[in-house]
Amino acid sequence: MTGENENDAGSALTVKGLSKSFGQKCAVDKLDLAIPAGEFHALLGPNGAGKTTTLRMVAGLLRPDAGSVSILGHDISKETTAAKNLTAFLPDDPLLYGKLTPLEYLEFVAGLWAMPAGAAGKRARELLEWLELWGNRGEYVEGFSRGMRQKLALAGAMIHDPKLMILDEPLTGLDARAARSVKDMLVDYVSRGNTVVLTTHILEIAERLAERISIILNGRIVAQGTLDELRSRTGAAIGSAGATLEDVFLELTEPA
Amino acid sequence: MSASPGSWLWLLRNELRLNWRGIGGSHLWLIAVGGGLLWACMHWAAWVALPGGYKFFQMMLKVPILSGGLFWVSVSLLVSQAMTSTVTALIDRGDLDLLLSSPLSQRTIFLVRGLSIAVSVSLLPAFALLPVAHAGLFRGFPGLMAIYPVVISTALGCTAAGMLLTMTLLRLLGARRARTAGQIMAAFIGVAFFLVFQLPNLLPADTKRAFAAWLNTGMQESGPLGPASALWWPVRAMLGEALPLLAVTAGGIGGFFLAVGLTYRRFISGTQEAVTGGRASSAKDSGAGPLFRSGLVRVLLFKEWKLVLRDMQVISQALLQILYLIPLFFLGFRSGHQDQYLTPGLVAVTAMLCGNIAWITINAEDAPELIATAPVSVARVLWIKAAAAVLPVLAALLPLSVWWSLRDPLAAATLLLCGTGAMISAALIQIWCPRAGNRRDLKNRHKQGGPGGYIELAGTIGWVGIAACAGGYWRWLPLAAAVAAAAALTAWFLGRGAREAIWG
Repeated sequence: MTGENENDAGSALTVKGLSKSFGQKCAVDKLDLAIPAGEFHALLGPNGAGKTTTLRMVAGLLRPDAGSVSILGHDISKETTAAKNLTAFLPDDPLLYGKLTPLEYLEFVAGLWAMPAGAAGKRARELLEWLELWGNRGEYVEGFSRGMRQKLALAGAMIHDPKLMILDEPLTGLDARAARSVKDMLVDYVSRGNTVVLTTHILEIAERLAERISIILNGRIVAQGTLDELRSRTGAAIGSAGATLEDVFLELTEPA
Repeated sequence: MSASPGSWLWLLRNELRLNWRGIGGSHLWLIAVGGGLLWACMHWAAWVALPGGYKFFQMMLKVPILSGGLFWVSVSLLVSQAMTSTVTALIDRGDLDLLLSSPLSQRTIFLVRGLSIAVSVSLLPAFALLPVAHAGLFRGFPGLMAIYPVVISTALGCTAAGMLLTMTLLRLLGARRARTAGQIMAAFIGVAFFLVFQLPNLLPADTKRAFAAWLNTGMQESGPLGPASALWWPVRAMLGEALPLLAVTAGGIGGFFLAVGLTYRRFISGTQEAVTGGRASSAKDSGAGPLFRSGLVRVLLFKEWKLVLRDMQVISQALLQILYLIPLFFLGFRSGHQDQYLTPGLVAVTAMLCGNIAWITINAEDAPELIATAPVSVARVLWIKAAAAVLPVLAALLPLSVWWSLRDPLAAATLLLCGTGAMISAALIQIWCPRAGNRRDLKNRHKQGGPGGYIELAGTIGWVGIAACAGGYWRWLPLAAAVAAAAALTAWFLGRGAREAIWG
């Protein structure tokens, strides 16, 4: 870690002046974000606000036009391997290999992150059992439902025990039972000092799980803080200290 | 075509629109204009050739094994096409849920889908034969208009056969395996006649003489292959003979409606099983606990090989390429000129096989984002993926070369050298000229745009040329080597932008 990065010590994710345009359309506009290690952070925003583009740049999938992303002190563009070693990214519609079994898939992912074979096998079993996929370990993924695929993708994201998990709509397609087990898993994961950044359209999840929330609109963060801080910021407009996150969200993202 | 929404005609129009748009993609207008011009030329050719051609056609009927044989070869190809279309329309296309949840009757849906398959099956014969019918109308041979009902009923009959064969597979194997088996079977039917025509070249002299004698007897006036045989009725029907025309039309149309009536319930339940109950395909249970491999190279190689081995489309393509080579193989060994026939052929097959596998491993990666987010060098991953394509083909080539070296060391060395060169070239071109694709599009990968497909073809031609030169045409060697080298250099040069986008 050097110079500027030392300032990011204690921060799991630091985003500075991040910008990305597609043609004439500005998707992310000089976005700043700092998420301390051990935090469960929710990134909320209406459709097309720039959430997914931001997460894809953070994960190193998309090259920003300007700005920097630092993961636990490692600049994603300069220390790519070190940053990726500590990170897991789960896209909103993860593509899996239809002709592999869950175990074979996890073996492959563990290989990509250079995990020792013994530890990877043990961890794969734990994850599949937790996500109730152990009984399906011999089946090809092509026969899985969307929820089962989502759970397997999550297992893939967690197998190498990343310090930072970036999750784009991780609960889409999950039934209530599966959603509960995933939520429990994420809470447990954060309680061990790791960091989660997730986007979701299910505001109840953000309200219950996230310690801090960022609301993004037109590629910029328009509000950030705990739910109470956000409430106090919009309290005057809404007129109630007991406003829900939905009230706050609608107020902050109301078209001008 | 005006049809009220929800009617079978309205549904058929929708099906045909989807089929039409699936033909040419973004080049649809080019195909329409080019096809129209070609069809106009064919009309002109039929107009010019018809009076003499009609007499020739009648004369051919006296030796019906030629015209009738051609008809049945075409039928086999149409059945093959119908099977492929049936698999696509009834198993692969994901809109059956929508249609079956609508108030339309299941029978209507199935009938319309069958009709749409028949329309696609009839396109090629209609394109080739209808100009003759049209010219005949104005040149004094109105009987040739019988080509219309013959083409329609043949397409319907072939569709019925394709549907029944696919149905049988569905019943025997279940929906998931039927899809794969249907694709393989369709490909084999397509290639079967090619092999049958090669039979005379492959048979020993005695057997060939006996076969010729049997054929002569069969073609006598009263023989099973004689002019009066019902086997040749379709050809006579095209000339307007009443009884054959009636029989062919009734057979085709009746067969189609019978097939629809017999199979639609089974098809619909079978295809629904594919969606809701298709958990059958399972790998072997790995026992009490998982034993994982470690190391990027091992894990990536095994992952690629597993995916290729479990992809029946790739396997069937590979089998077909080998199947086409069988006659060449026999020819080469019987003539003693392996260096002239067999070596270039085998080099072409190794290049095609390796190119296909490399395209799947490199360009048709199912989870590119997973690999992009992993802490590994993309370049290293690509080299390992290229190795995953080259190694299995090389493993098949090595024992063949060793065995062959006992008979003809020079040909064996040429095969090994040129085969390896062609494989490496094919794999490198996939890396150097990357273009993301979907493994389901393997068969049409060359049509997916971009120069990669053509460059790969040029590279293969270069290496095949080098192998052929080693058979005694040494003066052409510099040209062949230049083509192979130019292909690789072009791939390197043209692929710079794409590589930068992917590799960073």
